[in-house]
Amino acid sequence: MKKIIFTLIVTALLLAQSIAAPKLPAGYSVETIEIPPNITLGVGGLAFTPKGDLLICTREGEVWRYRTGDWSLFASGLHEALGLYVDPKTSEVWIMQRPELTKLIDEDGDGKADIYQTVNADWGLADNYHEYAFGPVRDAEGNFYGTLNTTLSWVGWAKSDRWDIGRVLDSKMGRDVPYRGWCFQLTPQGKFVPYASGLRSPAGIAINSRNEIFYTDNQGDWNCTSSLHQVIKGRFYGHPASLADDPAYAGKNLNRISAEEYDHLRSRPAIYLPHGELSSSPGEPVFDETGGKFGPFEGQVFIGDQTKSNEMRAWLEKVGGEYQGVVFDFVDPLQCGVIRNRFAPDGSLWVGQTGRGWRSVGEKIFGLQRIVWDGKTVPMEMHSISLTTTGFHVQFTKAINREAAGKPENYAIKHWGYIYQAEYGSPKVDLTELKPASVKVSSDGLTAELELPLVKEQVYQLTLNNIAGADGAPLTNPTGYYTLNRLRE
Amino acid sequence: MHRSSLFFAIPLALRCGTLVTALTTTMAMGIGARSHAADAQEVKIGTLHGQLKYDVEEFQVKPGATVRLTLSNTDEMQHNLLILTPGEKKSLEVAQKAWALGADAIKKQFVPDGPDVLFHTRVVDPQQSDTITFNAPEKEGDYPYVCTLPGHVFSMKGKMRVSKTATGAVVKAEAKKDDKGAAFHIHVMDEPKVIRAFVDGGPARSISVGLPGGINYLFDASQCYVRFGWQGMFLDIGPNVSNRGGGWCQILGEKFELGDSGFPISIGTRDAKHEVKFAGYRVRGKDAPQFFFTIDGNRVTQTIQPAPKGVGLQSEFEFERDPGGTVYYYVSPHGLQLSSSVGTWHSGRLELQAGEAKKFTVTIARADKAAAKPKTPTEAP
Repeated sequence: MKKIIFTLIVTALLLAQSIAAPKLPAGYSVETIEIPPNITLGVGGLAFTPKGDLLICTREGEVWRYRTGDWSLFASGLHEALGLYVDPKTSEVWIMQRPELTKLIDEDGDGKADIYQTVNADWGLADNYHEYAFGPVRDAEGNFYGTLNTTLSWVGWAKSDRWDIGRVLDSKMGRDVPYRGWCFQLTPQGKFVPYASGLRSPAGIAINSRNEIFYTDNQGDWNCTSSLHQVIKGRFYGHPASLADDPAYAGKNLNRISAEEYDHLRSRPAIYLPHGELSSSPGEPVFDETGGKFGPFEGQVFIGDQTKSNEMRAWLEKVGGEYQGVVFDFVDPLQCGVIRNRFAPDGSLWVGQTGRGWRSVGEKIFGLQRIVWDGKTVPMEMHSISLTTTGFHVQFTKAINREAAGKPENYAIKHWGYIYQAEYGSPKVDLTELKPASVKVSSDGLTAELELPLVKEQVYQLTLNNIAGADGAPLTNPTGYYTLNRLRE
Repeated sequence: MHRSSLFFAIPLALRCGTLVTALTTTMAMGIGARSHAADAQEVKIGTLHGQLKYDVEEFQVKPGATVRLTLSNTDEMQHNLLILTPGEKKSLEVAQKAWALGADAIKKQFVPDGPDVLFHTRVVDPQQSDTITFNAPEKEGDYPYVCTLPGHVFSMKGKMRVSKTATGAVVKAEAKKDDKGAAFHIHVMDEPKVIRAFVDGGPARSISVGLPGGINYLFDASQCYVRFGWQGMFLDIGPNVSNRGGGWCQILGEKFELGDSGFPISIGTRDAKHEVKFAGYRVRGKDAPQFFFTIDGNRVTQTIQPAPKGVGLQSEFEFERDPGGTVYYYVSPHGLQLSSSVGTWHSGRLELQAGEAKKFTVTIARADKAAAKPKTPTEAP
C-alpha cells in the first residue's frame, strides 16, 4: 500500500514537473518577476535606461519604472502603448502608442512624466481595434522606425462599420486609412517617410548594431506562415492592401492585379517560423549583442511568441546578397504569451508577456520573466545550420557524439513550400522526406557536413534523432527550420 | 479582467489626506432629533461591488420613528448617502450642487448646503461603514436617498418611504450576475485624469479629461479643439482594457455641448483656413491640463478649467507669437452662455482685434434658465 501511494506521489510530482517546467537548454534558468497586485502589466514594450532601470509600457496605457522589486508609475493614460525607446545617453523616453509617437518628458524631475509631446502622428487611424502601431527602433543617424498594422476586415470582429474598406482579393485585412501595412521612417527633422509596404500584422521590430532592421509578421492572409523579414527601403513584403498608399499604384484598382503578379513583386521573408509547430504569433525579435554574456549565441536573434509562449532562436546568413537562415525553439513554454524581448546590461534576456484577448499557453494574463545564463555551462545545441553548395553545415555548441552524428539515418529531413495567397495561411505543399546522402563529422565533433539535394524556395526541417553530445548531454532542441530562399552559387 | 492601479490610486489618495472633517453621528442627525437608539429601527444598506448601486432600493419607516442607518461600503470606491426632501428631480439637483463644490467637496463630504438635505452619512471609504441615527420626518411620503460622489447619482439611489402603514420591509437591489466584459470605471478625485483611448462618439485620436468636481471633456487631438463635455462620472475604459481592447470607452455622465463647429480659430480673415497640428499636452498633479498645438507653425497653449459658473469650460489661449491680425473664434451658440476676457461677440463669433489676441480666455457654459438673466452675446449690427 505504502509503495502504491509513494508511486502515486512520484508520478504526480513528475507529471506536475513535466507540465510546469519549460524546456530549457542547460545553463539557462527562468526567473519570474513578482508584479504587485494593483498593477496590470500587459506588456507592450521594454527598455533599459542608462542607469539600469527597466521601463515597461503596457497595453493598458501605463509606463512603469522597475528596479529590483521597486515599482513606480512614470506615465499613464496612453492609448495602447506597444513600444518604447530610451536614449542610451540622455535617458530621453519615446513611446509608440496607437495614435502617435510621443516623447515623455519629466519636466519637474519628480519621476513622473508631465509633458506628453507629440513627435509624429502622420499615419491614419480609424476606430478599428487592429490598427496597432509598433516600434520604435532608432538607427545611428537618429531616424526612428515603426510598423503599422493593417485594418481588421472581418465582419463582426472589427466592431467598426469601416471593416470592408481597402481589402484586396477578398482578403481579411484591409486598409481603411493611410499607411496601414507600412513600415515608416521618421527623420530627425520630423519627416514621416513611408519606408516599406506589404506588412500585415508586424508586431515586432528590431535593429542590430549594423543598423539592419527586421520585423516579424503573423500568419494570415497573404502570409503563408509567420515570418521574420529584413526591412529594406522601397520593398513590398506581400500584403497588397498597403499599396493603396504607394504613389506607383495611384489610380490603379488593386483588385485587378492578380496574386501571381503580387507574388513577383514581393520580397520573401528571411526566415519562416512554421505556424503551429514552432510559432503562432511572433512578437519582438532582439539581437544578442551582449558579447557572450547570454551564452554561445552572440549575434543571433531571439523571438518570442505571443500565443505559444515560447522563445525562439534564429541565425541569419547572407546567400546571394539576401538574408536567410535557421530558427530553433529555445525555451518552451514561458508563463504566458511573449511579445517583447530586451537584453539587460547584465546580459539576461527580459521577456514581456501578455495573454489578454487571444489567450496563450500558460494561465497568466500578463507577466514579466527573465532568462539568465549561468555564465559557464555550454548547452548541447545546434549553434547554427548554414547552407553549402551541396547541403547543410551544422555547427554544434560543443562536441557531438561523432559516431551517432555520423549516421545519415539519424537525420530526419523534410522540406516543403507554401502558397502565397489571399486566403489565411497556407498548407505545406510538396512535402518531401529524405535522409542525407552522406554525413561528415569533423574530428573535433563540432560540425557535421550533410550532403543532400537542395531545392530553392523551401523550408528544410532537420531533426537529429539519437544524437547526443560527446559528454552524453542530449540536444535540448533537436530540430531546426532552415528557410532556403536562394541556393549558393 | 484584472484591475489596474488606477482603480486603487484614487480612494487611497483620499484616505491619506482628505478626510479631515469626518462628521460625527450627532452632527448628522436631523434638527431636533430625539434619539432613542435603544428602540431605533435598524436599516442596513450596503453597496454592490463594482456596480455603482446600493443593495437596498427602498426601505420603509413610520413617521417620526427613530432610525439607525448604517452604510457599509463593500465597493472599492468611496460612497456616501444623503436623504433628501421629496421630489423627483431632487437627487440630481443635490448631486450637481455637490459636484459644484469643487475643492470644497471633499471637506464638506460632498454634502451641499441648503434645506434639501435632511440627513447624511460621511464619505465612507472602501470596506468601512458609517452609522447615523435620526428621527424620520412626520410627513408621509417618498424621501429619496442618493450618493453624491461624482457621477454616482445616475444609478446609486433609492427611497425611504415614510408611511403610517410601514412594515419595515426593504426592497433589495438585484446584483448583476454576468460580469463579462466588465465595466472599468475611472474615477476622478482631486487630480485631473487624462486618458487616450477610443471613445464612443469621439474621433479616433480622442483625449478624455476628467476634472475634479465632475466636469469632463473630450479633446480632439486630430483637429485640436474640445468637442464636447459631460458632467458626472468620468469614463468606463472597460472596452479598451478587456479582451482584445480597442473597444470604445463610454462617457459616464450627462453630455453637454460646447458649441462644436469645427476648429474654432481663424486668423486674419473670417474664413481663413490654417494648418493645425497637435503638439501634445501637459498634465501635472492638480494643475489644469494644458494642450499644445500649432496654427501655421505658431504654437498655442490652451489651458482648460471648469467654467467659474454653471456647467461648462473656460479655456485660456496663449500664442507663442502674437498672431498679428484679427483673430476670430467660432462657437455654435445655441443654448450656451459665451464670454471672453477681451474682444466682441457677434452671436457665435468672437472678434479679437490685432494686438489683443496673444492671450485671451473664452468661457462656454450651458445657458442656465434659472439664472437671473443670461449673459447673451452682443448681436452683430
